[in-house]
Amino acid sequence: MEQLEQRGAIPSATGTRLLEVSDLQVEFRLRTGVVHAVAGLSYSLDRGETLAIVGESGSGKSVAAHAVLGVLTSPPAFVTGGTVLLQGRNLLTMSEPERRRLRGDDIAMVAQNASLNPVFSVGWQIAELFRVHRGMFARDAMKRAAELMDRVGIPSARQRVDDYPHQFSGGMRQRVGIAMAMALEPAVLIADEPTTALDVTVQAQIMALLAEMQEQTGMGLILITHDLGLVSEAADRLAVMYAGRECETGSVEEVFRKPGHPYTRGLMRSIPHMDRKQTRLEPIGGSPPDLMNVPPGCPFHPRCPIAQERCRTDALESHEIGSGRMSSCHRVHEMWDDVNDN
Amino acid sequence: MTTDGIASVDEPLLRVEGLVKHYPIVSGAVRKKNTGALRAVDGVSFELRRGESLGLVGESGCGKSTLSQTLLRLVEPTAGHAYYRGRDIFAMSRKELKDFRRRVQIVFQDPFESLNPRMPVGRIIAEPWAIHPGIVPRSEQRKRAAELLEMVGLKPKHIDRYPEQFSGGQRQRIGVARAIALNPEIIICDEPVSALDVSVQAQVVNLLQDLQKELGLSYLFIAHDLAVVRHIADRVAVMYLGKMVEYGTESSIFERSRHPYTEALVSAVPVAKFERARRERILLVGEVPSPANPPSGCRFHTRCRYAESICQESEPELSARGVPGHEAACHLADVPANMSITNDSTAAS
Repeated sequence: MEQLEQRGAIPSATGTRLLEVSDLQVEFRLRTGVVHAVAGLSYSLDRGETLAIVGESGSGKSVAAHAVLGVLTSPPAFVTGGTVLLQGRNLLTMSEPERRRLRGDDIAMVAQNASLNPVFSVGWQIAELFRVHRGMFARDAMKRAAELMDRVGIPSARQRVDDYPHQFSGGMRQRVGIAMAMALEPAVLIADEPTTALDVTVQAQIMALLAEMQEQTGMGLILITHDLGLVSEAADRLAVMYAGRECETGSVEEVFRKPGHPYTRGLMRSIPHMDRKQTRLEPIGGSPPDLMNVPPGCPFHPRCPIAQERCRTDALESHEIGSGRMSSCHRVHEMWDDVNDN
Repeated sequence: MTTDGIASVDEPLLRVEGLVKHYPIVSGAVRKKNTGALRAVDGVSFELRRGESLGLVGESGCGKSTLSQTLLRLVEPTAGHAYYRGRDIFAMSRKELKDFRRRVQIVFQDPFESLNPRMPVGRIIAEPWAIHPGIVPRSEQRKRAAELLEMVGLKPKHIDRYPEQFSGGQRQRIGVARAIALNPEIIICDEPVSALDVSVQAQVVNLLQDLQKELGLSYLFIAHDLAVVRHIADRVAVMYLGKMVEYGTESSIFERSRHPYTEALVSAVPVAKFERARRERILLVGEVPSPANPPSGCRFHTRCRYAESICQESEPELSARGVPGHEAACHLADVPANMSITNDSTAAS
């Protein structure tokens, strides 16, 4: 764990760009047609920062993450455009062996359900990272695995290294997943719905663990989720996705106080609040589009309360709406003016 | 108690007393022996009144779903009683039970798995009428199914479509239409919105509330999303390891909770970083113990930050705290300094 501390000692977070994604395009070529799962996504991540990527199912948030890691199944998925710069190196143009060396060491992922192999012990699977990436001997690697399990809060880790995945509860398996992702102290950790399957009390434990790890190593965290409550608590900045397109990006506080896209605003109005009882929720009408059949113009226009003719026809553009804030809404300024009028 | 359907005025629609459901733990491959019991529900009592929503919250494995299954007698209880309009559900004859199940319907969590993919929605909605003939005559069933579709916000002309042609939110509306087809009095909603997209959840929540007003329904609303429960419930029951640990009105549970488990559960809900009034976060250590071998005394004592020796020794009963109707099962709930969940509470000492 010395390494962890050393990294923490490096002068702090600000200003170091870890990851820069620009205009990422991913399509699935299926027999029935082409699905543009991600049609233009741009974001950046600094050291020590947490960026949330928010969207519903089918918004492309997980596909984009898999594209960044280079783990899409191709075919049917193809990255058709954009750049992904990880500490200055373009992940999309490098060879698979090069990328494989970076994975785990520089960029790692925690999935919704820690994907563990049921026929190997948990300790063996964590130790594999040290054996493969660090060339350690099995015995030393197992020792490191036990240390790591202890660090992520698995009780009596030394006894449990030889247990198999089915002997762990969901929360504990997720801790194992985090241990594996953290094993090589990556600069960037992508957490794809890390707590969606867990109870709130366990979610609080897992998020506290991630925050602690981040504090110690200064890693950048990409948190992929649909849970706005979690975003408001855990993230510094967010990017909202809808139907494979980016709706808006900005700091969490600014976006929550004054959303820059009718979709974000609608989402925030539609969720109930814990601290007060409302009489009625204000839902967004309709449902998210089928990606085979994304509406032209702004994909949100059929559900948008302020859509106009140009929203049905004009292609999306990014509008800068403040420092570090972007919105793809054609009518964002009118939307804001309306708010001021009321 | 009255003998027929009409109960006395203050008799609640549903009254549950000391309900227990233990599943036997069987071991041995050849000579099977009962070596213990999984105490899924272990002595739960509550009432559900007409037109009211009772929220049931707790972590996975606390017995919420077993409770709802036992109430419908889909599984037989180990002990305890439940009265529907004064009649004991567990002593009902087949015929009475059939009538009872007409009055109590259920909406399931997963709208993708709870609708038969090979039936058009008109038939899905009409299926209950085949089991309970005489409610809607056969000749009018199609018309009535179309009306129900309209009531839940779907287009009547889509009556011949199949479930796969609908989105998740629309499918859950179909599930609701099927549940209200028999004019029930009680609907058990088992995580009805947790499988839906965020932007669609509010639509279904509003639909449930509208139907409640329109039809005078009572809901037993099971969910793990506390904000949704707070929104929809009049009263809330908190369960932990098969026991009810706190029971009260929505505002007393969420604003003046008296049980440390409820306190921790509420505090675990994320709060925006930038909000001034942040609650104190109580991180529970460890995990829920196994219901096969629950801790002695108060079942929560192994994770409770206030626990004292009495908590290990004797099991606290649900008893009244503060306002009438607010009950908590905690030895220390009377110590006022302990439990205060105000918006800016600092660590209780």
